[in-house]
Amino acid sequence: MNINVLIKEIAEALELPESTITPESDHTTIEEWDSLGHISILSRLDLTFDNITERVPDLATAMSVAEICQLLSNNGL
Amino acid sequence: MGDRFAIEDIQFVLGEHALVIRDKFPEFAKVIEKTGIEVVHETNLTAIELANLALKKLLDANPILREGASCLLYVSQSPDNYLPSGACTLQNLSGLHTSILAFDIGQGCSGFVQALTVAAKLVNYFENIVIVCADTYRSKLDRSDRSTSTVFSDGASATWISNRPKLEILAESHSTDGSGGKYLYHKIPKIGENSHLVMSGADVLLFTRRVVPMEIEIVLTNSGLPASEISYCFLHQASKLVLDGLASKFNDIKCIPSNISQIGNTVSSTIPILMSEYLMHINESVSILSGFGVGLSTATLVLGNTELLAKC
Repeated sequence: MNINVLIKEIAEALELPESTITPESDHTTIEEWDSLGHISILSRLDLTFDNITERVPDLATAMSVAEICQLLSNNGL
Repeated sequence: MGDRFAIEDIQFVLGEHALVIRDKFPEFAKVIEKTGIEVVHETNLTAIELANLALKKLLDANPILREGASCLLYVSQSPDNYLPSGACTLQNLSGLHTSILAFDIGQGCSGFVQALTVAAKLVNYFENIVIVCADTYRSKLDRSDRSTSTVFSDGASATWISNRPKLEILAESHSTDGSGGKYLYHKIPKIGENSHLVMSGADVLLFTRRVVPMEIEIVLTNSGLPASEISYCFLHQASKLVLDGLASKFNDIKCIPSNISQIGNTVSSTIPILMSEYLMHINESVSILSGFGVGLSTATLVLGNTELLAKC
């Protein structure tokens, strides 16, 4: 998984500039990444990666860029 | 084939304070696009007091029920007291006569559909059953949590089920997975502590996406009806994100109504409030009802007018 692609998706979902998100970002460092923000991220990933949350339910609890990247990579993305 | 019944009337009340999200929570305005909720309703009353207002509306509109109701089901997860049960308190507050079976169903978003399932199985014996749903989740919220503050409303509904032979439960499917309780809960606070409702929205959303379409497919298959024969699909009004996701999977169903924009998520009352707008048609059509959420649990029914189906 190209981390820059993922950062772009997360930024779109949270309606933030890409520059505000880094590979080290997580829900504690980005105010908008709360429960609702995480739902927005999952919905965005579903749109981009063909309902990926149905195949990777662990995304529900992946609350950092690194965790999401790892889960997507583990599932062939 | 089960017992036949009719949904005779539905009355409801919302919290007396209508909070416009853009005005009341301007810092949360961005979320409206996702939740679909413009207004939430908040009450200073307790759930039982709100329930009594909804029940009073039902009794005023249908005075026969004051003496004629023989069963009262009270659905709530906002108890006023540990004991007595809310149903007993409500019987007394509302002035319903004492020769009545009254008990609580301690469920949330699935609660109305679960209560209707029970009522449909009791209606031959009890003839007139009243289901009252009431929840006051707003009193449980952390106001800084935008995922709950911008979603939940206080509200109550009262539904009259009679034994007039119109509808049948053509198929039903229920699910309960208590391991998901950690995704939506409100703990009883210890003395001196505050306690707020906690919701892991992502987990609840994924549960909904995984389980609810499957449950609807099950009841469609078991009813023997194609989706195109369903006139209405009354889904729990959780949020726009949830509703849009579910609706996209059932394009053949004629009408999947939503009223979430101006009412919000009233927990156990969302489905009866939504159905109240279609009451004239429900007893003459085929509908799906699906409640889902806290528990985690789901309850899904196909209700149909069997005489109408026989003519088709």
